[in-house]
Amino acid sequence: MRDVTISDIERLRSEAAGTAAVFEMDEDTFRAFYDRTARPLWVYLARLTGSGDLADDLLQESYYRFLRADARHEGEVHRRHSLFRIATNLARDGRRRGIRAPLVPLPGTGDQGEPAAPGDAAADADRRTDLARAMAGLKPREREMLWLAYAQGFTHADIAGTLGVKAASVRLLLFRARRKLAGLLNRRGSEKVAR
Amino acid sequence: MRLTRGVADVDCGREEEILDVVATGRWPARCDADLAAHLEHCQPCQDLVAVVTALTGEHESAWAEARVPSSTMVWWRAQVKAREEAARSAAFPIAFAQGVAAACGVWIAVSLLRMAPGPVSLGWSSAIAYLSAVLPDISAALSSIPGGTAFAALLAGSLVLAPIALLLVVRVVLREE
Repeated sequence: MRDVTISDIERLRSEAAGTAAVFEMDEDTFRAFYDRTARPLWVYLARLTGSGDLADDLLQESYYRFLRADARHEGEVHRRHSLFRIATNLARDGRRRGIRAPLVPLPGTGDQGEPAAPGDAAADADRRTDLARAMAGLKPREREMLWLAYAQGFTHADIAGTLGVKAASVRLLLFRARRKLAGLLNRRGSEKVAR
Repeated sequence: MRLTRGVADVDCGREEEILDVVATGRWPARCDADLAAHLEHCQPCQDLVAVVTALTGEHESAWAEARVPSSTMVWWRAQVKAREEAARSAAFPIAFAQGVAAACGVWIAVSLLRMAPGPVSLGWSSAIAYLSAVLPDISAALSSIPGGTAFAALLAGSLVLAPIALLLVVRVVLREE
């Protein structure tokens, strides 16, 4: 995605100011909400799809659908659930339509990786590759759930609201997914030791 | 780990404590001895530590490399897209009506040609000559029935407009594609 220059922003502002309201949400509210949610959402989408470029596209589409839905939200939490639910569904739709990046973006060869450096950076790249491979062994819902719970710090109620599962089921589903991922990580560790 | 009616009791009650230790960076060096001892023989807690440390580390790396467009850009693109969709939605009934008109026109033309066996098998010049001979008879027949002239005008108009309408529909469909 290309960088936005100051002149671009000025032009967009003047164009937007000259047009009638299209969405229920006003621009200031949107901007505040976007600033709070865009980065976590991008990270979530990048990890679900395994591609920064796909995450860029899905981010834009997620906000567009969120705005177009013009839904009444009870508060910030509810609004965030809606946004993440839309993003999750878009990522799932993409998978169903076969739009997918390799789920294991190898550091240094992926669309967002930098060349692996010696020392700590190489170890870090190795760790990320191991995790990506282990995550690829999970079902999509397990990946979504684990990421939301332990990377983004969502509560069980947040996860239920976002993924559309019963709140009472989240604990058990999370437990199973956690056990599975830990098993995959341990297996990869054991294979390395054996080599 | 207890099992109750086939459903696993999924944590040992120290999940929050472990999450807190990892989140505050106290794992493993500054972890309580009691918690460390517990972890040695609690498999769900070991799984939890393995998963949480891996995912939080990954989250930090991903956060650093995240590149999000400005809110102005996203807002503007959303507005443009909404307007385009609205325009497409408004144009759809018109395109649909044009499509129906075009289909009717083609159907009528084909029916007329099938009713008149001569011109189909003839060359263009012979066909025009044939139609010139037949048209006065048709117009005489139409004018003898009530509303026949209006029907003839409508029919002729449809035949002329049908290809144009068809062209417009094709253009709209291609643009949507």
